Amino acid sequence: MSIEVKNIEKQFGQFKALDNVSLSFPTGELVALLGPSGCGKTTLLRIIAGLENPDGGVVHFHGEDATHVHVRQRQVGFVFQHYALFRHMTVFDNVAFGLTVRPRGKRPGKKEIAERVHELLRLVQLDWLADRYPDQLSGGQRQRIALARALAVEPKVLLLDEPFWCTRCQSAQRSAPLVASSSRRAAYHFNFCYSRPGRGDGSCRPDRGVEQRQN
Amino acid sequence: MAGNVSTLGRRTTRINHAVTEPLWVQLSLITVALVFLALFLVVPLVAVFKEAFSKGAEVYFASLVEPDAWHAIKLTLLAAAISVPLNVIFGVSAAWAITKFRFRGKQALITLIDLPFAVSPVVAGLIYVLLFGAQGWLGPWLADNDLKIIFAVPGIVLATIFVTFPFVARELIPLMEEQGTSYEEASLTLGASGWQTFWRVTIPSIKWGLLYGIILCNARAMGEFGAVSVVSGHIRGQTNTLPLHIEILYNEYQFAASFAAASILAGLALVTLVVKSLLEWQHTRDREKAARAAAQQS
Ligand SMILES: Nc1ncnc2c1ncn2[C@@H]1O[C@H](COP(=O)(O)OP(=O)(O)O)[C@@H](O)[C@H]1O
Ligand SMILES: [Mg+2]
Repeated sequence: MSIEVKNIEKQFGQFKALDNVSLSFPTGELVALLGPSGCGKTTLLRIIAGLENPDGGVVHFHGEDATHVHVRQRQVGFVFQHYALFRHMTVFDNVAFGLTVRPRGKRPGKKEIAERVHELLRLVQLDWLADRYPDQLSGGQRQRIALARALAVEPKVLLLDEPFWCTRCQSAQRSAPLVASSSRRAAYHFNFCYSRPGRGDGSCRPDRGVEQRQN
Repeated sequence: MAGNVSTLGRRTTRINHAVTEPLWVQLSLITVALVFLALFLVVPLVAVFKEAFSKGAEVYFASLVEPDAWHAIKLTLLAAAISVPLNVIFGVSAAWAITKFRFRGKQALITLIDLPFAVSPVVAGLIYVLLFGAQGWLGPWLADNDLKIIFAVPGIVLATIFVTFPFVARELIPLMEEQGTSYEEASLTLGASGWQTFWRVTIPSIKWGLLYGIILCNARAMGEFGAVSVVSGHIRGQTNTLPLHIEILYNEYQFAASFAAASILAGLALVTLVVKSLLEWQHTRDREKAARAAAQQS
């Protein structure tokens, strides 16, 4: 699904975090937002996800205005910088969450959910951690669980906030389809914006980097 | 990079031996704590029960089933049964509003919540007398409509609610502040409704704080003396709560009966503590079990 943001403005009190930002992300492209800390990358991702309302400008999903669509309806997967895994749930329940909260008619059966969760856990190579709690995981493991959780609901767009901030090079390579192993630009903060479907060629370098400047 | 500290250290029950104090420091700290506990908690508690049974078990039980005592017990339970749930609803809403939204007057609300801690309970009682008493602002209107608040059960419930309303909110605000909004946001992006998010994400993550708040709130609701004393009017068999009943008996030199009633309150406190410890124990045990299971698999 393509994403287009036009003339986005966001103000926090006196501080202008985003000033007339326009970007477009064609379907299937993996885009990295680069820029120094505090330049508004997270804010932009949050606006795309619908967690924050822009003061001005529009967000288009697949050509349709989604600016006022509720987060819940946007079908956006979001991996938070600190992962926000539910601490009172096991890894399994975390990944299953998005499926279990579906309205009754659309909710898959227990068995189907379990299959789907294990499939995702295998994808991030952490199937053996299904019964643990988030507190009992390393940072890199948490990140991959957060990724699996976001993928479980088959989002049309996947937003990763700072996917490298905790991942060592090695585990970055292992976290398969999404996180590129590049540490060349480690000084930068990467925020990925990824519109499905992927190209499936396994090379997960961003197709494009967009550099955001500090206002 | 900084920032991960919050999720790393918490809830680990294991003691890290590399950073503990020398043995003698540990021992003397433990001794001080134990002596203090014994002097100020255990000795009085034992004294209450000893005094209560000083005339034998028969007198003890007789003084509890005696109609006025029995009525006082029921009234105390009623006041707690009404005020605790109301204050849970209030406390959760207030903590939610304060920690999850940005709005004007937030600081004022926090200060107001603390008011019952700052104000003497007697003053709190007097406020209600001033409002609803026969000479109070609403007194004549209440009298015309045949409603009785002061020197009646509604007044006791109101006073109890007033003195206990900070407990749940106070317990939850720091907890929810620390947790921020990211769990709720994650839940919403995963397609959960606000209601589902509240019950499946917010409530479980504040469960222990909430429980602790409820326990404290309940203990205070059952034990409150000052505010209730002002609005109750001490009518035996009608508006006497357990703490008031204890005082009356004591003033009439019925020590055994008075301590028997006191032992009920002390017993309630003990039960509350045991329940709390059991729940906490179960909570850590579940986590450890999960950790062991995970360790075995790997
Ligand atoms: N809720 C908020 N209230 C006030 N200022 C904020 C808020 N969120 C972000 N900001 C400010 O907006 C700017 C951009 O933040 P952010 O998008 O998190 O930056 P980045 O992710 O690029 O490091 C920062 O200067 C930050 O202080
Ligand atoms: Mg950021």
